[in-house]
Amino acid sequence: MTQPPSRFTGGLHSPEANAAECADLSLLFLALRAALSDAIARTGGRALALEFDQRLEAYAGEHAWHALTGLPSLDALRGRVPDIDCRMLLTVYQDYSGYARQLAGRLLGDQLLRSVIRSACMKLPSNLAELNARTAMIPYA
Amino acid sequence: MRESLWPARIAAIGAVATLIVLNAFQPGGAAVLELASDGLYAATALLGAVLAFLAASRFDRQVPQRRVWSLLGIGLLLWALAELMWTYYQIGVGVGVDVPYPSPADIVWAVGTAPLVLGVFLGHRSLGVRLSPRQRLAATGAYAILLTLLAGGLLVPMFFSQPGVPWAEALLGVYYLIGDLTLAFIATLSLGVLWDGLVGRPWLPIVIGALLFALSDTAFTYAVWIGVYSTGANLLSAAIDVSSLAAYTAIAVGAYRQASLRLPNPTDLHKASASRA
Repeated sequence: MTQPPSRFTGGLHSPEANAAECADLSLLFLALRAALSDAIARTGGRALALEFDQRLEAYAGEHAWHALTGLPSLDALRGRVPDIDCRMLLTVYQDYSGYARQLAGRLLGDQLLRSVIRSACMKLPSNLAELNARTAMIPYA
Repeated sequence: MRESLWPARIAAIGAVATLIVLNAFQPGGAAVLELASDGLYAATALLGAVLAFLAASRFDRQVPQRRVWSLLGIGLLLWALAELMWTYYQIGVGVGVDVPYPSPADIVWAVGTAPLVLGVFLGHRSLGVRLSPRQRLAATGAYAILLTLLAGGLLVPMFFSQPGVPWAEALLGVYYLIGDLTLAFIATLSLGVLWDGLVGRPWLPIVIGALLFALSDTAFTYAVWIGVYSTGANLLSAAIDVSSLAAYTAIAVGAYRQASLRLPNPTDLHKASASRA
């Protein structure tokens, strides 16, 4: 017996495939955030990295993160994957990723930011690298 | 510590302006000027060391930048110690009597240069970014020209015009010039990588400070050789003293900037993005 199409996926994915895609997208976004935060902590100090994380949380808070995903914060991603349409989640992450890269660019400068992103992309496991190539969530500079 | 550059700017400009005024009017005579200028050097070097250690404390233990700023702090601390030794020689020997050059203070200065150069080198290496060939060529070319101008214009004529120039004096002059320029060169490479980022802000004053040291140390060696250096006695001596103090304050401002790095307000960020666009 086949599962009925998920109300979250618009019928394009099975709920399992949708959940797996959401999990991978979340991992990809967390990888970007961790790479940027780590680079800021290494060059500007942990307080600056903490400010970066807080600013990103604030941005997500202002841009409907809780309403869309039901999660209280981006930090909650470490323990739970949002159960929504993966295409909508991708749009959300692309927006947040753009903001994170813009903010990190102001902190690190263009040259170091490109180097950090390049290095983060090279460290991705193959499935996430393939997902990134498909979604361009972390544009390879 | 919030990032407000005004206190640092006012303190730096105030210290340099004080020395200019003291040189111009010399209230209390040469002895007071010597004491005041030596006190200002030692104080700014010590302040720079404290700020560099403070900057180091903002990094986690395993982060290379913590070592970088600790090394800068150690170097500045040694330079502060050298300044205090120099003050002792100037006051101890007495006004009008030549202070030995090189003196034991010079050994401490020379030793202090090593952790500074090592610190900026480790700092640049930890960025893990190579400059473009054009950027590297421009930086190397600019410093090669500067080295040629300072060495060729001041040190070489000095060494070859009189065969009796003491070897220790010559060696020290070359060491200071190369040490200061190496410091400035590596700091420039880091600035080249980070120039458009907030974390690049500390490096501009450090580059300026190291360049001022290169200029003032070489001019000092030259002035001692031609026998005109004497605190407050002439324009060249005053220029050397003021640029030395400006160098210390610039490096202290760099350390302050690192210790007080903060994200701009979101409204400032939006304004900056709009002006860029």
